[in-house]
Formats: sequence, structure tokens, C-alpha cells
Amino acid sequence: MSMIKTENLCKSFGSLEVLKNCSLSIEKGEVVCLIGPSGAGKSTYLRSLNHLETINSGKLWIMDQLVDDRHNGHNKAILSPKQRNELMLDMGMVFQRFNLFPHLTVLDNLTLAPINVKNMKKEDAVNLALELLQKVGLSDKADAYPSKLSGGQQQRVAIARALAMQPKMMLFDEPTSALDPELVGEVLQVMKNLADDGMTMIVVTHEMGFAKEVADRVVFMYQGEILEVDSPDVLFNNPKHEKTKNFLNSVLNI
Amino acid sequence: MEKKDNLRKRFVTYFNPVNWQKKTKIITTITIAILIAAFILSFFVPTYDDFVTQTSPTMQEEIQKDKDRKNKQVLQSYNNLFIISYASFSTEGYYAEKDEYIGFAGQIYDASEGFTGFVGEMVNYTYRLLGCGENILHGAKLTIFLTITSVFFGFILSIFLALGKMSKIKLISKPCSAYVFFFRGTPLMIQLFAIYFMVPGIFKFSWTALTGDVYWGAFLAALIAFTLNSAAYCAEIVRAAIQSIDKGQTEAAKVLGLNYRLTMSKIIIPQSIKRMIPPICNEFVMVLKDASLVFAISLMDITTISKTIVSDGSYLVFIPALIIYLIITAFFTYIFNKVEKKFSVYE
Repeated sequence: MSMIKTENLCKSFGSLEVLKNCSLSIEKGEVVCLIGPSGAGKSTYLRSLNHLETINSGKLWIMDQLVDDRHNGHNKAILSPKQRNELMLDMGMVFQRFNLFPHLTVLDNLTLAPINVKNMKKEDAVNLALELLQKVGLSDKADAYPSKLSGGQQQRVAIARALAMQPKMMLFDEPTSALDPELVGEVLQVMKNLADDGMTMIVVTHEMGFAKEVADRVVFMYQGEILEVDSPDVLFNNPKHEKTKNFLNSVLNI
Repeated sequence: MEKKDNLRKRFVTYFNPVNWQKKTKIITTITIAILIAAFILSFFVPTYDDFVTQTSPTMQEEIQKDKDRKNKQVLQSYNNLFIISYASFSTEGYYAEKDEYIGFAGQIYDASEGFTGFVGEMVNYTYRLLGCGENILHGAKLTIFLTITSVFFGFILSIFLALGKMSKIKLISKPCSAYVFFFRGTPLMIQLFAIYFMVPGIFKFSWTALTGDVYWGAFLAALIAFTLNSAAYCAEIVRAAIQSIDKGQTEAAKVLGLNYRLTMSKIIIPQSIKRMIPPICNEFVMVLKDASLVFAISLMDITTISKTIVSDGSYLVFIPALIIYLIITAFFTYIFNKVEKKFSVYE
């Protein structure tokens, strides 16, 4: 069973084509890293998976259910909005800029959606939240406001918040790009633990070390196209495309 | 932002008595003591008879005669300020005399001219402004009540207007935009007239019959006009505040599965309220001053009462009127600053 499958995904902002025929299939328990130069469409691809961006044409399956089947923006997929929203809840997302709710404490950030969307009991939601906070190593920060936390701590709270909805897969949109270098490690460690637990993960990242170590497959994107998909060993050591070689040279040999 | 905070900090330090110099402290203490003493002493008002003995012999004579007269010729008022005037018309011509005294701490001072004259007039006008009608503080009470209620209801209405204006459905957004355009683009005075005179005319009812009272009828009309008007202004404030919230917040809410209603009520509006407070305070002060327009439909507020007093030729009455407005404004600005601070806990 594939968790996510895309076929000929296309997206353009006006006349600018951001995604060109992106096809990819992601299996259960897989960790896939998207790499590539900025402006390659990595983030847009990730955002179009959970409908933060609407694609112009192409097909999108989530958990083997056809969610999008678009031609020139018109959706042919037969799925009620309710079913679609339920499928979307299976995808947790972590943003580059954390996007925590600043007016709520860490605990309220974690319990808001489970209580209001999943109709979870308050005690259950709080217990789950505390468990997750312990998992990301922030049990003592439950009553703090996000503004009192460091960037790394905020991102770990954001990961816990996404996990509080008990998703089946996690999307990471450059989770360490907005962090100070010394805070990157703690966030990557949490993500590694998550991967070890068998979570399906799609990670847009510039951390090549993380991609090498954790990813099952690495996807190289360039100017809106998926150029290469391979295991990290092959892609980092023997890239087939000239573009991939250039990119890896510029990133790895600073 | 930082610069503004510094300015506020300096402002707060300056007005905090702990940081004052010794000299300032002493002067302030003495001023406050004098004011309190003056307030207490002002209760010791000389009796009516004491005032009468101070007046000129002719006036005393007239007062004596006036007791037996059917048509009274002596006009008098009696509080801290004692004003007594006599006017008579006879074949010899017009004769008039006016005496003014101010009673303070059991003493009587001549208030016809000079400093005591000025003080006396101020006391009299303030008394008449605040004590006119059947209520004490009548005018000020009306103004404050009208402002608070209309801004409160206007603000609630404006949230829906702002959300409607931002709606993607044209059938909702266009009427909301038109509403805001209409109420911001026409004078409040005409809106007030339209609601007080025109609406009952069209729909065949009367404000008086609706409320059972002329006064409350006019008040209801004014309340509706002011609410509708301030809703239009607040809608723009609310819209700007909502749109100033980072788009990432909406995206995060969407990813967590929150629907539009939950996103707005739990995430966006609570965050934007803090940003709304300064402009809403501004709007509040504007409405407070615009509330003086109710004199056009004969509601007795501060402005209307001072207008009736000025028709006696007492043009200085506007000084206490302005001061009362200033005091009310200062009070509410203070309250809003407190509220704003309370909302900024998480920053």
C-alpha cells in the first residue's frame, strides 16, 4: 500500500511553471528526503500534497484513495469534502517557521486540535500531549508560551503538535532552515527518533548529513522536475545527472 | 516598535512617583492636599440669609417687597454661587441690578468681577452642566453610556462585517463592502436624522411609541445610528488586524484540520484583538466626541446643556464643558492602555 502517490503533478503560478509532471510513490514506513537548489519546487510539491497549494493538473492518491484528478484546475475525483478532510488529517506537517500559536501555551497548542477536531476528551488530550512533550524532551515547558522558547524548542513543540493528531505520515518543510546552527542537532535528533519508530516521513531539507543517514530514498528536484530518485548511497556517491553532481558539489564542498 | 516602547517606558518612569525628585513630590503632595481641602471646605456654604445681608440696600429692599408681590421681579439662584438679580419696568424706564457672591468655607466673596468672579462662573456652569435635568451628572452620564454601548455593539457587528468583507463569496462580500462604504462616506449627522425622522416615516412607527417615552425614543434612535456608524469604522480596523496576522497561522490551523469557524475563533481573532485595541481606543474617543451630535435630536448631553446655558449669554460655559470631555477621554484612554497591557502577556 502506498501512502502517497502522485502522477504528473503540475502547478504554475501565473506563467511560472513550478512543478512539471512530478510523479512519485511513497510506501509505508519510508523516509524520503527532497533535496535540490532553491526554487526547485520542493516546498510547493510538499504543500500540494496536503492542499495548501492547489495543483493545476495531475493525480494524487493518499492511502490509495484518489483525492485529486485534475485537468486545467477542474477536479474529477469523486470524494466528499468530509472524506477528503479525514484523509488530510492523516498527514501532519511541520513548517520552516514553526507557526506555533503564540497566544496559547505549549500544552494548549498541542491539545487544541485533538479536542476540537477529533473530539477527544480533555484529559486524554492532555495525557497524550504530555507524553509527546516527553518524547521531544520538553516536558518542563508545558505551561510556557512559545515566545519564551528557543527556535529549536519551538520546532520540537511544532513536531509534537503535529504528532498530537496521531497522523500516519509526516511532512517536513525545511524544518531546520530557520534555526541557529547550534540548535539544528536537537531537532534532527527528534526526527531521527521518529523515523526509527517507523513513521512515514517526507522531508524537504538542506541537511545532507541527515538525508544520508536517515533517508531510505532521496529525491533530487531541479526547476520543477524530479530528476533523480535513488537510495542515498547511490545518489550521493554516483549521481547520474550532471545537475545533481553540480548541486552536490556546491553543497558538500564548501 | 522599539522606539515606541522606549517612549512609553520614559513616559511611565516620568509619571511614577517613585522616580520623582523631592521637590516635585512636595509640590504634588501640597497641590493634592489643597484640592482635597478645597473640596471639603466647599461643603460649608453660607446660608441664604447671610448672602442677602451682603447685597446692596436697594436689592434688600426689593427682596423684602418681592415676598408680597404676585409677579416676582427678583430672580435668584442659590448654591455655592449666589446670584441675585432684579429687573423692573416702569414709566421711568428699565431698571436692572445684578449681584453675585460666592460662598466658600463659610465666607462670602464678591463674585461680580476679578478672579473670584471667574471662579464663581466656573462653579456655576459646572453645577448647571452636571446637575441639569432630573439626574445629577445627567449629560455626562448620557454621553458615556451612549458611547460605551454603541462602540460595544458596533464592535461585535464589525467582526461579522469584516469577515464578510474578506469572504470569497461575492454575494456576502459585496453588501458588506457597500455597507462600510455607505456609513463611512456619509455624514453621521444625516445618518442620525435619517434614523430618527426618515425610518419611522417610511415604516410607519414612532420612536416614542416604541419605547413609551420621548427621551428613550430619541436615545434608541441615537444608539442605533451610532452603532451602525461605528460598526463601519470598526470593520476596517478588524479587517486590517486580521489580515496582519501571519499567513502561517492559517496554514498551521488548516493542516491540523481546523475549519474556518474554529480557525477564526480560536486562532486568528484572539491574536488580532491585541492589535485592534489601540485603533479601537481611537474610535472610542471619536465616538465620544461625535456623541455631542445628539443635540440635534434634543437629547440632553453635555453639549446640549451647555448650549442652553450659553443662550443666557454665559459664553464661558464651554470651558467646563471641554474639561468634562477631557476628563472622560483621559479616563477611558487609561482603561484601554491597561487592557492592552493585559493582552500582551504572551509577547
